[in-house]
Amino acid sequence: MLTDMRREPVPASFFNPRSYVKSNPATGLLHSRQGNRLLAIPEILMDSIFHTLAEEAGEASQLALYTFGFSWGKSFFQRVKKETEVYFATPLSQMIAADFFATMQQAWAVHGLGKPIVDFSFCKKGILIVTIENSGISTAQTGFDLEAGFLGGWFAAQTHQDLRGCLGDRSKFPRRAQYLIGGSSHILDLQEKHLNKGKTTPSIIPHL
Amino acid sequence: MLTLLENVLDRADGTYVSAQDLRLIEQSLSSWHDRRDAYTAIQVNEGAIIRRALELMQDSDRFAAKPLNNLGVDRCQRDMLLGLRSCALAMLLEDQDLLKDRILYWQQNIFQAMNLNYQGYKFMWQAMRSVLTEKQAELMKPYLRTAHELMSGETVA
Repeated sequence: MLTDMRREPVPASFFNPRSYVKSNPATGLLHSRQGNRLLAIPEILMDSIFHTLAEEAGEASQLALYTFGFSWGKSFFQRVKKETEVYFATPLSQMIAADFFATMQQAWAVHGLGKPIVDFSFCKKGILIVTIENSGISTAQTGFDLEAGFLGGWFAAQTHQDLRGCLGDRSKFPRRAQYLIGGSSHILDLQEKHLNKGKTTPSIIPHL
Repeated sequence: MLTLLENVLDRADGTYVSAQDLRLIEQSLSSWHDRRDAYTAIQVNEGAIIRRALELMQDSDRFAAKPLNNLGVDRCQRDMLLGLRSCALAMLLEDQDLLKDRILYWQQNIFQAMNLNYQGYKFMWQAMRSVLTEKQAELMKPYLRTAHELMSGETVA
């Protein structure tokens, strides 16, 4: 009934950057509007991670970065899920997809991670194509393993499936990184047969 | 006002608010009573405005051809309610940037994901004109216009 509705707040954009981050100068804490602690890190942290790991671990750094990213992406999803469910008073499974993906975009934006664009055109073949513009995780030349892991972890947590991410394509101007997300063995297969041979997304599509 | 005050704060960092900025604040304060009256009128008449907007929408060409089911109407009602309250608050605080940042960009994403050319704000404008006084409706015009332009990609006269 409309008269009841009048008193009920209509939930909207939970992660919008003008509302989400709160600071408390007295304690030195940043936190989300639901009270979860936040940290603001400068870009150079990411640069240092990539540089140091490459120096210390060489080739093994790729796997390490992927695994680290996967774990991070998984917990990031869980945090976003929890805050979203509390705010909307609705389980995620009951949210309309368009609403959830708009929420996901703003969660990325407010954390400075860039703009994720999810392409569902190939989901019948078991593949999502996720393009990140202005990534806060990868740079123009490196960090793609970390970001692939991050996205793999996010979607694995979202779907409860054994998923994996890999880099499909990238460009510098505009700065974009494009990832393929799918079942672990499917992605590993694509990596072995096509991506590791230098192919990029457009020429892989027929082989999905 | 919120965006204005944030900017004034930035510009006055470590010094005093400029004469120009003081004038901007005073200008905004000068219409406060009118805005508050319009805001109260909207709150009191929310039900009537939404009902009228839904009627207009369901009578329009697109929906006559393909009527919405109950779930669709519920969803539309919620979207309109959110839109109405957000635009009203933006009008009260005289802050278009706040409206865009907090609501409109997110809403635009959703309607784009649904491939929907959202006309709700147009119907809300028409509904407001029939429920509110002319003066009250005029105060809401710039906010509804901005919202409509962002959702539908149409520029409005």
